[in-house]
Amino acid sequence: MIKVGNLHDMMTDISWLDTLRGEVFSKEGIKRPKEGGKPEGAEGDKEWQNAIDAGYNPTDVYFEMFDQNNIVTSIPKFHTCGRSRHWWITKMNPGNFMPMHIDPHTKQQKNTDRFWIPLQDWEHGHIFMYENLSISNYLKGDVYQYNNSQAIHGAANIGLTARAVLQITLYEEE
Amino acid sequence: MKFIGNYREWIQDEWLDFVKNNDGIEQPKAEFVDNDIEGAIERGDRAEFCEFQKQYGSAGYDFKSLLYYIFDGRNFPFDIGIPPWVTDYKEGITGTYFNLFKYKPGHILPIHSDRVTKYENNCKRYWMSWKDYEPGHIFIYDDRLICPYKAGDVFEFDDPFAVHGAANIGLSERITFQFTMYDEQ
Repeated sequence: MIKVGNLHDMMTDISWLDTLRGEVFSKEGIKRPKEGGKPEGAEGDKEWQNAIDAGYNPTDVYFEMFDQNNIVTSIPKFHTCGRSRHWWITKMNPGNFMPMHIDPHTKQQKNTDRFWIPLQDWEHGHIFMYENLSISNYLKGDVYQYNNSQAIHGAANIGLTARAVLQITLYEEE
Repeated sequence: MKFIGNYREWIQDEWLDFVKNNDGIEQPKAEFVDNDIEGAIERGDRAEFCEFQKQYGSAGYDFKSLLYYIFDGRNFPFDIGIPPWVTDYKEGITGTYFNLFKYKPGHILPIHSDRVTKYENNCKRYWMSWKDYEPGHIFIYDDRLICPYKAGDVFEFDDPFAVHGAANIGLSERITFQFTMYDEQ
């Protein structure tokens, strides 16, 4: 993961981040994996089965997810170099987690860049693992870029407050 | 965390097999039931400890759930003795205890400091993994992830009361050992 900068230095107004965090913390998202179903494609099938074999329960709730279908806050249009944009937000209440995985959609999309943007300052117990690294001591609006869009990653919240992160993927349409 | 060395040869196969083949004491469920912590919270006993626990209840953790398994002198049927990296143990003066933690995939131990325990006098704490590191095996000490490591690697807590926590978001069991020393009162 490379820290690219902070949105505060890239945009004149980042008040939408606070609005977005407020919205995410004030309502429930799609409960995953219970309500989401397994990821599409053969790679998704394989990861899903590996997780079940390890003991994860696909009918449990490990985190909540938000996207354009359940968020009303307007997320500004970033410069995408002509590529398409796909974004989502993960919310983890204390005790929630997301098992280590490789996102199957990044294998299907071309010329992909992935960005990870926390909606709040780092707190103890808020864990994001990217390969063998954990990202900590970050600030709200920091922008991290995946070195490799297909790197294994996962997250957990073993802290005392909820945790929310915006993720943006840029990719070329087929 | 200070790396002390690798002591893989100290871990006996029968110890490891026992932990792999048994599930240990369910935590925090057993801790709360055995010590009537809910009753203590209601009565206001052990105020500092109970205040600490109330924070976790408020955050949403369920005291009666299974978050991880523990083995210690109550349910680990082997005499582990004093580990070989310990050089300053004094018979009759130094108190010790150990905990073995078993985390199945999805198990967690919320961040905490053990300052609220009674073992505060000249305390030293060591952490050792009994398995090689795998992605998703998380031990957080303060703001640092301890990884990668090999089975048998021993680390000493710089501060035995530092904030730490653990999780297993990987695909295999995670087994760790913790050895604590303190001066008897």
